[in-house]
Amino acid sequence: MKRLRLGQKVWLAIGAAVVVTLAFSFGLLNYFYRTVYMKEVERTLIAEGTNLARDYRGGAIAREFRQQIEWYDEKSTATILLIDNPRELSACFPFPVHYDALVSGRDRETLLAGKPVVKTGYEKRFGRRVMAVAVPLLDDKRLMGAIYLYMPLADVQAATKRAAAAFWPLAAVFAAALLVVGRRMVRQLVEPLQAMERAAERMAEGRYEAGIPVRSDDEIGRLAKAFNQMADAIAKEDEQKREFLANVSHELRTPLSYMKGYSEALLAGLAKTKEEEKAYLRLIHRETERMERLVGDLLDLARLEGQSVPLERAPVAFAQVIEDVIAMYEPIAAQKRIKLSCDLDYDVIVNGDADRLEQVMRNLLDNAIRYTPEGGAVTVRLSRPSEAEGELVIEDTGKGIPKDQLPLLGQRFFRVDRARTRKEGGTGLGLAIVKQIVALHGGAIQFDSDLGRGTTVSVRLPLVREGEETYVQDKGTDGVSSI
Amino acid sequence: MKRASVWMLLGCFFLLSGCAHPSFPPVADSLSVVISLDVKGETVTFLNAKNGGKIARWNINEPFQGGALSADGRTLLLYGRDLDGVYRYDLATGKPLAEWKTGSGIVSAAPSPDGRTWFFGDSEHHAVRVVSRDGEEIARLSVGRSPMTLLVNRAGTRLYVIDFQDERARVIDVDRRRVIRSFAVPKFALGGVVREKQGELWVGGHGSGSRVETNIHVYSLQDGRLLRTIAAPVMPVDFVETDRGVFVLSHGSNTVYRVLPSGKRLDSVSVGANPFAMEAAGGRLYIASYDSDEMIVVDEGTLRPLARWKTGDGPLQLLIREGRT
Repeated sequence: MKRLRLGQKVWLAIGAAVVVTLAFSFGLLNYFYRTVYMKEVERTLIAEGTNLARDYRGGAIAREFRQQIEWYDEKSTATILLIDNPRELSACFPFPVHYDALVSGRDRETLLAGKPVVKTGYEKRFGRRVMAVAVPLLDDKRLMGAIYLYMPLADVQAATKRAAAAFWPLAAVFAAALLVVGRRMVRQLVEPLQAMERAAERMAEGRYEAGIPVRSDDEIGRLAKAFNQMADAIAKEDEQKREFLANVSHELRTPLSYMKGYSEALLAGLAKTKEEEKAYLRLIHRETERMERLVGDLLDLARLEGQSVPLERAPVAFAQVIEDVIAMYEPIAAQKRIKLSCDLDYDVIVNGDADRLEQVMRNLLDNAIRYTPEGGAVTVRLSRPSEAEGELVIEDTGKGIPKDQLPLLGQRFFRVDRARTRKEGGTGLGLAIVKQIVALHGGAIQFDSDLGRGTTVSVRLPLVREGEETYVQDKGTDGVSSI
Repeated sequence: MKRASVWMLLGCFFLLSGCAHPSFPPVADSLSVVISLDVKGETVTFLNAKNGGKIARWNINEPFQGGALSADGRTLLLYGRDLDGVYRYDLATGKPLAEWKTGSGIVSAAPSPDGRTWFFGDSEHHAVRVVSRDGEEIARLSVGRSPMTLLVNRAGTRLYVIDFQDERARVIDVDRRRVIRSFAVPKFALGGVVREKQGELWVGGHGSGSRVETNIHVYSLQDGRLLRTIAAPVMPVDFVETDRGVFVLSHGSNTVYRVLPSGKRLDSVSVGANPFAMEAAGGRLYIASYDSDEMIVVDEGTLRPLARWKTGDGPLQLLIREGRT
């Protein structure tokens, strides 16, 4: 069997709902007519019969009474008979006289008890379906007669038919209106879903533009919006991936071409002197180191992003880490005649991975010294702006970064000045690594710069609060951090 | 253990009570009783003929339609179209006697005056069945479809069978076991009286269709000729002849008429509600009023109502049993 589409299913559901609603309404209408209207007719007939019977004074049926009933019969919408023939009253009931009396043997019992009899159905005598009421004329225990009132059911049901005649056109209009509204609803429901289906197929082929129309603010609308956002995010990610691959290959190609060129020169004996040969080899060696750094950084970044190597957390005296790094860089700074000063708060204890924090410090200081011209200054400050947070600020007097490029800092292979940086020996991954480590520590990094005046990098890290050390140790088993 | 034996006892009780017709309160031979056969309530009510005191009420709980007393007044028979036999009870003990397996369809019964035989009208076999007092069928005579009225002459030599549906009456020679004559009667004829001295058979009835019977039809016993009609509206269905004349009960008009032997209607009294049966004894008429579930006692001479006695539901037939000292 062919499977139904969502639109068809919703259509079917709406159609079924319309049919069921109309059928139910019609059933209800009929029911009310039957119970309320028919009951009303029955009540009226009983009331008329009882009122007429009240004029019976007992004894034999008087001529005047008969005439009175006949007169009333002419005026009334119901047909009214005065029955006094014992045969019609089933007086011979115990004997099988085979006569279809208007009042049956069982009815006679009811009449003898002084109660009216109500009958609805086909009456052979009149050859049609009737609603009939018989009211007894009792003289003590004797059933002297009965007033028999009846109305053809056709008359009673004509009212139902009139109601049905009005009902069906109205029902048709109602159904048409429902179907038109339903059609619009189905379209609104299904179109975005179909668009999403098509977009998903396109995405599978590598085309990431979605462009699903968002027409409403309901679940479907929000789904369409989320789908568009997802498509944008995937497109961006794809773009970044391409860029990253291009960057990696580009970064690897430069040292490789150096190495290839100089090694070919060496092999071809182009180096005339031993000194020249050594210089070539030094160049090759330098490029090898660069490649090693680059590959190391890439591996680091991949690990950090994939969290394959968890942080080895422990309370770290951050000032100590900073001091060690500064000590490492002092000779380089001295070589560039850069004034390297620091102002450290020794109470800043970070719950972190000492090696990774050192990497942060190293990368940031390396950048600061690298981009500060000779005779400049680099200042390192560690402070505690609040009980919960420590702040590391590295300020240099370098050439600074254009404001519009500040948000791009920390992206992989982003360089403010590509040619220069490569020459300076950076891999373009340092800040990305820093950003990742800071994020893993639950901290935040901020860049501020004035072009020509220098750059300030501030790193905020959450501190170990009193009594938290134990807690940190307890948490050591969760796989993210350990002592 | 105790509980088990109680259950077994109860089981035995139900088994026994389900198997046999129950016994009823006895009716002493010495009492003169009026017996009311209450077909609606399926009971038999025994009333003291003198004061109307209730002697017993038997709950038959079977759809019987009529009954008869044996000539000696000791045995009550009950029959019905839908019963599979004739039920018999000994009045003096209230105990059921062996049922006569006649099969269904019995619509009338009459004992022969000498008490030796019974006549049953059988609507199933369209016959009158002659049965000995031991219950053995002696003869079966073909009659109409519904032999509901059986009248026997005083000597027991003639049986008059008035059919309810076939518009015919038949005369049976009892000794020769033969239908010797038949003649036309109105449809739904019911009830009658044999007046041997006058050589007349009076026949009542309901009338057919919407036309109700208003006359008594008088036929010649000799040749079945319609001699005359006597107006007795509406629907004369039961007759009693005494020294004071013939009393006719018309259920449609709730009236008892007294007709002189000459056929002249003397007087009448309005009585009961839809009465179907009448009996006479001791200068009184007992009339069963079907719709009001009572019996009305009327003085035969003055036709004045004397008393109203309560019966069971729907008394359709009365029987009188004289007491023996």
